[in-house]
Amino acid sequence: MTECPIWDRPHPAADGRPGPLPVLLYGLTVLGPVLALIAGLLLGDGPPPATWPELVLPTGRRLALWLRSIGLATSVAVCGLTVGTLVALRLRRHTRWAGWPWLFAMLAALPPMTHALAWSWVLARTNLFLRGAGMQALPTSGWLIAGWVQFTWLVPLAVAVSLVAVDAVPTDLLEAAHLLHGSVHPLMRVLLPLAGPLLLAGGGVLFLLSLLDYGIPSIFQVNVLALDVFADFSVHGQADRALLVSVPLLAATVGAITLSQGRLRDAAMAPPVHGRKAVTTERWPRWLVALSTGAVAIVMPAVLGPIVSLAAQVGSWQQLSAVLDGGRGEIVYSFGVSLAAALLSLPLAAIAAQRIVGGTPLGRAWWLAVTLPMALPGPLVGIGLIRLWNSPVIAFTSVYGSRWMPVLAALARYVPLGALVMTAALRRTDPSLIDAARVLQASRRRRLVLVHLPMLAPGLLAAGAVVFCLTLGELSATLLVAAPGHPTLSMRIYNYLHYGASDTVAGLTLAMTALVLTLGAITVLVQTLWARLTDIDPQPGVPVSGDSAR
Amino acid sequence: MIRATLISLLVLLTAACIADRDAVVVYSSVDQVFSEPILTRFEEVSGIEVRAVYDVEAAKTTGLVTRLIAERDNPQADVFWNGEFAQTVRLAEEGVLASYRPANAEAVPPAYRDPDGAWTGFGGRGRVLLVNTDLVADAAMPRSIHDLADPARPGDRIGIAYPLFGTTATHAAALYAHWGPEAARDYFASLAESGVRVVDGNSVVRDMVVDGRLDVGLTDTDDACTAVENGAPVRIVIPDQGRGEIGTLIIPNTVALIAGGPNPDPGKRLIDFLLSEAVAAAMIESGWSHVVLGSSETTPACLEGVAIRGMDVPLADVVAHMEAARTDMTEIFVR
Repeated sequence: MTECPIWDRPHPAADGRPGPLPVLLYGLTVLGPVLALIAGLLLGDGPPPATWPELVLPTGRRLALWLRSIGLATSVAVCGLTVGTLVALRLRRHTRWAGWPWLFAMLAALPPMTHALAWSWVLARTNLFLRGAGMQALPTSGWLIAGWVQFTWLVPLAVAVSLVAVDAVPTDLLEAAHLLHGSVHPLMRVLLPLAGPLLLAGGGVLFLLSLLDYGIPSIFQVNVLALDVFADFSVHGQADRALLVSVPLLAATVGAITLSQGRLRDAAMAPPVHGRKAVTTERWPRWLVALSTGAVAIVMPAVLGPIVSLAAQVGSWQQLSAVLDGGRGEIVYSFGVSLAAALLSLPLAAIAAQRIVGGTPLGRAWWLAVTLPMALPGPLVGIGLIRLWNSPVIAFTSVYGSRWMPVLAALARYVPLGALVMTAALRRTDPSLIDAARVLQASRRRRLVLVHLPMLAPGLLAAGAVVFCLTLGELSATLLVAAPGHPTLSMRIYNYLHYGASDTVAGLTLAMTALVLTLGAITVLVQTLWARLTDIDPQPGVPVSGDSAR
Repeated sequence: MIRATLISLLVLLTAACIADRDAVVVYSSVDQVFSEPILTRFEEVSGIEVRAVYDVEAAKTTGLVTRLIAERDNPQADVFWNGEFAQTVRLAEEGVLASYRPANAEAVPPAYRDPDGAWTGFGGRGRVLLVNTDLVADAAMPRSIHDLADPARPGDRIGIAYPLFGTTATHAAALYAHWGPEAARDYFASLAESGVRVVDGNSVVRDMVVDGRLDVGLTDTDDACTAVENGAPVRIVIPDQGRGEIGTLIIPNTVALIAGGPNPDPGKRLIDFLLSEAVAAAMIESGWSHVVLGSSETTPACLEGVAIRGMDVPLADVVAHMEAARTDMTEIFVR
């Protein structure tokens, strides 16, 4: 089989590709801030070009930081995926509930700082107990604890991705493998290779999120390159210089995303379904049962630890009620911002996803258009947004300074992630249905309404939910563009963080958790109803997208 | 889908803003919990609506400064109320600030005012040592910042915030200005060698001392006083107050008018209000300010009866050493 990258092979779902105007809107909304930064670098008063190589190429201390950052991000991504896969296998063995991926994905929306504070709190109390008992205290700083806390932040996402990946493997293939080869063979030779591309794609996203985060490492006294970039920005105050200094981070993330997402072309993906039947012939060896039990035992405290610690810090229902009352304005506004970002991200993400799977000659450029904004640190996105929307050319629209700016910040940062989710969803659509629609339905609009949208609905919902959750916790870009007098919930939480009002911080963070869990519940409900309405239970032998199914 | 895209973006682009009337836009790096009540009071007495954007510690006080510089060609803010001075001086150098000499600024010592009227200092905070009294006996109480580098004290029981950001960076620059770059660099290198805990912010230093994860931490008076008022087992030590010692760094709040801001007159009224005696008293009562630069009879509860002697170092010298100090601090602490 000849190897060819994902962008060279058109998928029928790319039918009805967008025209130039929607593409222009994607460019303005998502690429605009990046382009504004690059234009500022080339045309503004930034560092002279002669100094660029020195700023761009990491040497000495920065090289060591870069390598260590990549090491930390790789460890977190690998551990996350390993544990996530084991948990996914375990959950899928015992239950077919379609809501698991959503539940875990929503838990990933808790801001990283929440995990850092919660685990600091847990560690402090544990050490108090250990010292009281005359035992050795646990380490409260260093790579191990920083890696663990990043892991606890990202492992819900890893489990969600793994569940989706495991779910995407056609059940009939697994059944056949189990019948022919017994216990472990189907897992190693069928399930993991087929789920591998999606798992790898998820691993790329975990790597990116870990690499760009300096909040958790700095709390646990671990220096990473992302902190160095921020420190450089703080010292010199020049966005153009910061853009150059962050190039090693951009290169690492673009490389990781391209490598990991590129393997999606090999994925054998069954259409997403509600209540897929279990593999009845499955038999696991004891060591695998033990491993998956261990993984569940690791994930439980990782997921519940922060929530329990937050609840303990709130104290009482009265206190929680008072905190929520005080933050009602920010909670409502943030919900509105997140909802608007989620809804507006759908068409934009669909535009990019259609171009990526469409096999156009510009496919590589579209891949870059999706990965580059994702790799840009939040503060730089914020500066790019100011340069774009507050520029004399666009300022007349009065969008800058309005309450829409946090929505635009969220779109600039998270539409690319939504586009990746949509790309996976597009590739999971049944090509035979699309081909049939093409033959039988002449109208493009009817094809869109009657065929594409029903098949894409789960993907759209997934992309929207991801954007909603991430927007709710966004701070670094929002802080630079929020309208005066209209702070978001995350801004309020971080503000109180400095004041030391841990009960208030805990209460507001619990409110944020409740919001995302509510959205998770709604998503699961809609998914369930949608599956029943459209009745898309798989038929044995239905062709699935991906090479192995062709 | 395409139509949905167009409609959505069209709605976004036509989001018209109602013209600002009797409003003032203020960017404040002072904690919202301290600054909001004062701004609300201004609304009550002036009838002018205040629209505020507050910085957060996670942005290391660079968030709003970055925003003001990026907005320079089309300013959105009228007033910048900063919890420290170094970034305000930088904004003046960048041409972001307008000249305005409030009448009531005369009570502020000249050292805490810009000679060209670009900014005015008021209500200050001090750099202090916060000590956990459960863990450190009276006899072992530190008295000087030199005690932080004392080999007799375990470095991992002492904490400072990253000296690359915020008031800790300003403190480092002040020591560069006072001791000279070489001596100051040696001091911080010795702190790093002793294994001192470098954490994410002054509030984290406070929390770690309160929790007993640190014996001693270098922080600001507002953080330290919060711990005292919450009943934590801590004591505030004003460092280097003895005869012949350097004193501690006093960090004034600064307020400035933004050049070309949309509402200059309400902006000037807000600045006048912030420099009033009533606000000085309110800031002390709330726990934000602990050093009076103008005239006020109110004294901070957590430092009652304690006189703070400041370092004898011109603010302009501190700002002049900021870049060199931060570059060194990055080399020493981000490894």
